[in-house]
Amino acid sequence: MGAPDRSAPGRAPDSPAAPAPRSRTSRRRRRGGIKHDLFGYLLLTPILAVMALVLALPLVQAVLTSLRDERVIGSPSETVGFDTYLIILQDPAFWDALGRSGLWLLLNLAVQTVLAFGTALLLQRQGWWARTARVWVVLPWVIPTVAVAVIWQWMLNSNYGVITHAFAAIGIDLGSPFSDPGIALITVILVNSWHWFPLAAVVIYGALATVPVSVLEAAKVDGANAWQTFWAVTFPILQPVLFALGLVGSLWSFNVLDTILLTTGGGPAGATTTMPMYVYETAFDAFRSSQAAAASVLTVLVLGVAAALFVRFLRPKGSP
Amino acid sequence: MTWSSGLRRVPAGLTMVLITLIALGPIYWVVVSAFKTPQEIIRPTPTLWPQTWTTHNFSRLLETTPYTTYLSNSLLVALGTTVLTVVLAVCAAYGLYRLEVPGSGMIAGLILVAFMIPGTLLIVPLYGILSDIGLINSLAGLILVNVAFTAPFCTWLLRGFIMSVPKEIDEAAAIDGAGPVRTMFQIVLPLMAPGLATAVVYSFVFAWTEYVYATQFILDDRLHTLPIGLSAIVGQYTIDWGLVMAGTVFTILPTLILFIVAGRYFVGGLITGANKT
Amino acid sequence: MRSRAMGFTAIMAASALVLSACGADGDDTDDELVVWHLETPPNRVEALDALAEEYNNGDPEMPVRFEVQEWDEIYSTIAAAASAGDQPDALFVTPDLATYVRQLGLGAPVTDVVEGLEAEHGFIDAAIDPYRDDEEYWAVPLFGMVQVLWYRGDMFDDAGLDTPQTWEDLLEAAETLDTDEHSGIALPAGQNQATDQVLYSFMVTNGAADIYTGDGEIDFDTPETVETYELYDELLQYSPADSGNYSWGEPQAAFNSGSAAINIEKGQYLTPFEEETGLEPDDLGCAPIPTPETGGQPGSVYFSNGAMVLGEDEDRTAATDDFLEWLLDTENYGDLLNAEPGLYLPLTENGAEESDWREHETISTYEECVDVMLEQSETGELFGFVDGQYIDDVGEISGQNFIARAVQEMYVNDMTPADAVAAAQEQMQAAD
Repeated sequence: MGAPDRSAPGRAPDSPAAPAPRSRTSRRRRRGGIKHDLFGYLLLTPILAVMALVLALPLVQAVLTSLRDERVIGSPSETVGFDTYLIILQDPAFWDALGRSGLWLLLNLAVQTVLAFGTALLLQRQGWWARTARVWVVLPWVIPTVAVAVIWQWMLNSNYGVITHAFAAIGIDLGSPFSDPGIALITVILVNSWHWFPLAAVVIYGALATVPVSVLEAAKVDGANAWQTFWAVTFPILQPVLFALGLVGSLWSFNVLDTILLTTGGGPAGATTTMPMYVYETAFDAFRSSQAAAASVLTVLVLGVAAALFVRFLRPKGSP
Repeated sequence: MTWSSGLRRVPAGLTMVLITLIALGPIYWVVVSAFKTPQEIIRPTPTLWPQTWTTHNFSRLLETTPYTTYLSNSLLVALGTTVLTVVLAVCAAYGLYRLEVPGSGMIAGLILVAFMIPGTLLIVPLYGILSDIGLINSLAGLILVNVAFTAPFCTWLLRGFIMSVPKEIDEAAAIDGAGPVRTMFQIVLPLMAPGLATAVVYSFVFAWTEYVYATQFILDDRLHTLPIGLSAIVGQYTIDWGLVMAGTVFTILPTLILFIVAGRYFVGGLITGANKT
Repeated sequence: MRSRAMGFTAIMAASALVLSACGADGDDTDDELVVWHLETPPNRVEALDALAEEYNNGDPEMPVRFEVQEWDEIYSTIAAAASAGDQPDALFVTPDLATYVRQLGLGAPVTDVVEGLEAEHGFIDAAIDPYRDDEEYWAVPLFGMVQVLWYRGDMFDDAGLDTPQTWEDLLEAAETLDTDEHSGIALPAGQNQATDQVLYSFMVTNGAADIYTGDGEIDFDTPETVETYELYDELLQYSPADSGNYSWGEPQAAFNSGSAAINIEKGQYLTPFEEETGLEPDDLGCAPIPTPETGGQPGSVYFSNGAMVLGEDEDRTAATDDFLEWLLDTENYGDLLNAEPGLYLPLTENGAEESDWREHETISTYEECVDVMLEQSETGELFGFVDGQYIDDVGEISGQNFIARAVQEMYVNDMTPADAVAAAQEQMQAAD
């Protein structure tokens, strides 16, 4: 697999440097008329049908559950309106979990962005490293989370963990990363980031490949340095992809359950209980399905507001 | 070559070493450990290279677990998920971000909502729905569920790619007399190739590693996927490290082969392919 | 141009085919009994499948098929299956899981079966009592599990130590053996069942087995419980630094790798010992759980694992009963127990002697330890089911691992044992 042929960009070479943005006035809404729209709706039908069946229908059922006082799933219960929500809003553990999830989200984003950007830029280079790395860099991501959890717990084990020993050899005592409440959350965030950064790296690398060399060369001729070129040329072109990745990646990252469940299970003493973990524990350990549903609905609302703000302020200029 | 050439002052070599170590270090460790004896795996002082090589863990894995069954189930689910996801996501992205049908903004927002839903919340109601339509305990049901999570993500992913294809191209095609279908498949789709590649990779890996729904909706051991098989090895009361390591290696291996064989189609090849159009 | 549209159509058709082909798999046939078990390790799956095959070869009314489920997910899986009316014909349970399953509205009484088996084989009390409620039995006991003390004979010999019998002996041994090379003991202190169970075993030895009052109110905060937490706190000083994340696997790995000298766990220690330690079977020490010097009594946590009958059709429940009776027949019982030799203990009076259980290599090699476990079984207890008690919602206490949470507060957040126990009492009351 050779390096992508960067002399032939994937877009018309004479198109402007900032490609995606089109002003609202130039958008031709009714260009194709009814036939155009019908075709569009036809294209949207399959995904909407699947989402309705798998996501919307169960979600409606969950909202209904949140208005009841159901404990063990499927056991008899009564409609209590918003009482369940009041219970949840008064539970300090709910707010702790929400705060922890905020931290989880930001740190995951920060760590993964640095790793992914660094990797994507290196993947772009020529030479054997980049050539082979394009294949192996995805490995951490293709490992099932079950294995990720076991591998890291084992490597960080205080008795026979290889990382523990490596750090001990240079005089650093790692202690017990998964069971020290001060660093357990950071540890799980690092493990989660290890698992997921390759995905972001591949996406950013793919986006970088759409940056036309001609434009970059033009910038160089104009005497722009690397940072100037990046902010003036590369970044605007990457922006739509980064925007989508950032928004969806963040929402998705917020809802990560398996990594935490399989490493610390929310411990030690609740130090890694993020919102999904709180919902899981409430539903499946404490058997309070209505409360779990109410907490989820509240979370969806919080995320909705956050996403709306994200779209409002970070959307690339000119995109719909 | 690129703007990053200006960054040569940054020790790129060091970063390469670091990223190699971060990404491959743990995997190296798993692979060599899979060839160690159970005793050596848990030795207090780790050995960087197996003192005695043994394939005992692998033969035990093949003898005591239906690995090949798990493998074919996983492949079926991953391929089914990938194909459906790409088809659905391309259609949706094209309709939303290219044709911009009335109401696309709202529909795009709906698709976004898909990521705000905590997956755990859906387990129980979804079980009932799948059961009602006869898809519980079937790989098809699992594919359907996977697609509901991968297709919205891929639609969003394709948004950027579809928008970076200049709209003038459509207009030129329309002047040439191409209808919307032809414009989509012949003109725009090929230009989105890097995005498609990413969608393929994402949905395949999602299905390959998915754990929570696979444990919930597949009840029959003959239909279990690899992550479930692996999790079973970890066991409730005891961990057989040798088996876990061998199982992990065998779980990574198929995707690694896939990436080696088809990697250029996924990443580099598709980009060049797109340029030829 | 055309080829692309064709390709698209072909892909659609192919995916439809894939879907329908997959859909055809795994449909349960109506004349087959489906039994869910939670014994996920491959060797157990294989052994249980072999048993089902043997049963099916005998041309029964209805053949049986086992399906294995994840222990961690069973609470949601069975709830989902119940709400969809798709539950299996039988489910392997522990007493607390059984209370949960009953709250889902599932489960048929199996009193006739249990009484018939009782007459034929004789159950030990700890096996059947936890399944008795409303004057009926709700599960057929299949095998027992009990915790004992495991120690490294080689390390004890080197240090000239004797088998610990009292809490004091245990502390002394743990302290003596806590050296630069290895920890004195490896105890779980994560928020999980493993921690719940080891701590509870010590509670039983201190007479604190019953965490409920006669009226079924939580009675956790007692001097005996606090003493037990004090002991655990002291022992944890000699346990590896990352004990706060330990569950089942880690203490055993520390033990077998020579990183820890003492463990408290169930019978899964026998099988891998020789291979993982490279030692002789004689070097695996085992003893009853040490007891307090004064006022103590022998005891340990004990799990009677049974099978609940969940089918609603009379023919099916009768066929399920038939299969469960067959499993306990001395002809087959040895094979059931040796699905995990040492971990699964017989709980019928004739099961230990008349079946071929003892002929298994692991069982005969470690005969002494097996006998220690059998003896310990007689003193076994389980919270929520002490002395004929039956707490309907004990699952809410065990499900949330309150006992382990208190250990974490003490070990991780430096709470005093008394405060941690008091906090746990409050949490349990709030959950009840």
